[in-house]
Amino acid sequence: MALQRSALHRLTGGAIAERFGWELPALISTASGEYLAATTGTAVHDISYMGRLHAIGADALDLLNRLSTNKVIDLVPGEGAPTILTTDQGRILDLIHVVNLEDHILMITSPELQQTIIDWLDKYTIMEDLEVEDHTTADTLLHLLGPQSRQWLEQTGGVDLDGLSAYGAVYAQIADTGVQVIDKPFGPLPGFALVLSNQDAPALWNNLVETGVIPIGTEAYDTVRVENAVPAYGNEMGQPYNPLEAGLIGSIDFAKGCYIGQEVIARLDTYQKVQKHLVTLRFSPDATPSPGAGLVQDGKVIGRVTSLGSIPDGGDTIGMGYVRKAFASEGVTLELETPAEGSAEITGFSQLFGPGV
Amino acid sequence: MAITQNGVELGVSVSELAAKKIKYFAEKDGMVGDVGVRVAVKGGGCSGLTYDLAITTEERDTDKVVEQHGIKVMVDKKSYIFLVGTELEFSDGLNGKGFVFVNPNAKKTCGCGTSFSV
Repeated sequence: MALQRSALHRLTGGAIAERFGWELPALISTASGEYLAATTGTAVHDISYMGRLHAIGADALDLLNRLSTNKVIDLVPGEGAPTILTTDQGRILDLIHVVNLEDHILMITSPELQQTIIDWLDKYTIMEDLEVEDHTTADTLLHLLGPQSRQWLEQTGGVDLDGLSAYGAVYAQIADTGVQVIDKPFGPLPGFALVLSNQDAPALWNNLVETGVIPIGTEAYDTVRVENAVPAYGNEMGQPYNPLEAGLIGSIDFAKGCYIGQEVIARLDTYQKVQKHLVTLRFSPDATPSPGAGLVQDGKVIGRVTSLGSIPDGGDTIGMGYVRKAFASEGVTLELETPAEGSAEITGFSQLFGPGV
Repeated sequence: MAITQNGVELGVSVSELAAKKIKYFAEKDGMVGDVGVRVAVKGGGCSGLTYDLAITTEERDTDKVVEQHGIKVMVDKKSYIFLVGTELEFSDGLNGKGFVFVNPNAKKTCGCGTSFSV
């Protein structure tokens, strides 16, 4: 199958690599420049490869509320929330960002999961007034991120963000382009998703670059993701894992009532039956980790590396991994399973969730 | 489509006590005319599918309708597939008071009994 290209394919430049079935820029300028922009200034990454579904119909939020972990039924136009579609065993189908955009409900999914989610929703649609359309290639999705991203939107972009709620949306004109601005933080790092037409995308992209926003490729984006402990589908999320292990407790409403998998998740929480935790790792300078490498203590494998990142300019090699609950404490050093060499120190927990919290 | 057993068409039935309670709630709400209960299935709930119950006087052309104990039990075509053979009962035991679905199609039921999977 031919690889997908975003509306900005010719504009971003940089070294192109295949990922998620798309041709994506891996590195656009320099690794250190891109990393610095995202962590200290404002960066932009073309995330058009993430799935976008439009749910249309009176029962859209009601159905999503019955199928996922967060309370989304009361979202009024302009409001949004992250929520997890879970199986009846309480495992993660996907973490989706749901936004009420009045004429439709937007769902931002993990890359390549659009059809899985359409099929899942279809399976549980019996009498509901609901149509789901795949808009993934129909428009452009950018992720503006970094500590200065809010300031850029307000001061340079001229967007009034006063009315923007957490995970919500405001419609704005940026450089004469109509843009849906959605609050989309990257873990603790501020960030905003910009939804705009494919036709308008090149002009806005140029405007962003001309006003000092640094375009970043998938490599820097992934390093920043790992540093900020944001789980990714396939690495840290998917059916092997439940939301509590993945540190997604902030996307679970324990008082909203029934949804698929609710009993299992409530039981895991009440009886503290979570077996492992997603942690952030810092590797020793001599370490040779790879995703999937075992993490060892006293000769036993008690965890696995799931993602890796490399801080540019000789910085640390960092990662994320699942570690058995008894060993998941900040400061604990674990050896890498042979043939990998070196060790990893646990530096924190995914999101804000750790043992005992 | 009708699902039959030994030549008899199966539907959704209602126990005498459940029918009495439905009439009681309908009267309390000031409903007049032929009172019935609409039984349906929705996606969601702990086990994947969940029951939906509404006391109503509105019958639709496409409904499967059974009259029992002085009330009409109405089921839409899509829900019928999941509900065929189900009896609606009313429990007033110490373990919880309310309408209970006894559904032979349910392979798994959640703790509170409002959700099931087939």
